[in-house]
Amino acid sequence: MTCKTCRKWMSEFLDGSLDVWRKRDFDEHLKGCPACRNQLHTMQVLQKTLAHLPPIRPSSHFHFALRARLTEELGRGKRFRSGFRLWGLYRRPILVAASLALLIVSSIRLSRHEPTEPMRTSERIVTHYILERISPSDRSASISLNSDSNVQCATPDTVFVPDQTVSGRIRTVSF
Amino acid sequence: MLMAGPNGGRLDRSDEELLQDTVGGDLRAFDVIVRRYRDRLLNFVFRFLGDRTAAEDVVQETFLRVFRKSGEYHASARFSTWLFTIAGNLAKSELRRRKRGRFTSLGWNEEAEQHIEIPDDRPRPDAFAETEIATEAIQKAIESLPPNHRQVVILSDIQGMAYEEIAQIVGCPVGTVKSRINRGRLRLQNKLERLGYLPDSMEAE
Repeated sequence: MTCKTCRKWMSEFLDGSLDVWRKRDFDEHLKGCPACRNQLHTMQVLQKTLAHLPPIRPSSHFHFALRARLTEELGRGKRFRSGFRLWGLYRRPILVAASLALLIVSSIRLSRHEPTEPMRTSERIVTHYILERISPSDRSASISLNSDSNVQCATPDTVFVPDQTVSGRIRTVSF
Repeated sequence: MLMAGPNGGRLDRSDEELLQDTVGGDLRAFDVIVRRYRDRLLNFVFRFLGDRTAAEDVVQETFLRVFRKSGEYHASARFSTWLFTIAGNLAKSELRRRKRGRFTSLGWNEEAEQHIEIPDDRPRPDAFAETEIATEAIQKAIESLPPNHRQVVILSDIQGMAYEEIAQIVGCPVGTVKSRINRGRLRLQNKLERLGYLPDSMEAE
């Protein structure tokens, strides 16, 4: 082992983590090399010196400052707490499963009531089930629109609702 | 710190349990964590930065981040490892910030290291002052090490951590840590020898 190699393994030798074979070579080298022995001794002194450096204690305002910062953090946390709670709910698997089930059932039910025709320019709402109860002569007189004048009566059995009134659907038409 | 009163039972709890309690809203549990680690963290960061005020700021920021992320902690690493990783990263950021702001300590590059000498005011008459000066010189010598070497030497020789834990903290293989520790110690040794704070290893036996 050369002095260079010896210095390379010096820390591991001191820390006791050198493997058996390297340690044997290391010991052999040390026996015949006073310079490396000195170097090793100095490193030991350095280790002891570093281990015994006087500890630093926190200043008197350390805790006050930390407390102030934590309090500020807590205050900030409260502002978002409702949001975090909601998010917390979604992290629970049972609630997630229940929510998904509800979503699926709702989608299926809604899809049954969806009009088959696209709702781009106007929505056609068939009102047979309502109009059939009114005699044809009375229909035009009987149909009154509760709020939205855009709803138009096209034929005796149907009404058209332009885009902007779609949200009202059949409930906006009253008899 | 946060609340006065007994910490009944909390002192016996592990770090991980205390962190869980913190997530559950028990601020006294976090107080125990702070008391348990503040001194070690402060010493680690102070030895790294060489500035007490900055070190306290970094340690406070470390605890603040731990508090903020307490719900995200997973026990894949030891809590202390996680804590020291955060503190180490913050300390390095602070060092970079100070460097940009020209708060440089003694240069740690090879060339600078050859030329910069710390004035030796010794000997002082009383032993206390002597120790103070020696401590200051050692601190300056530590600060003269490259940050990567400095961090591992502090963790190893001042904090007394094992190679494996240091490797986790600095995010390097154990072999790299061993090599950095050795090179850091040799540099430090060389510097302190020249200043007369260590026995000269070149002297004949």
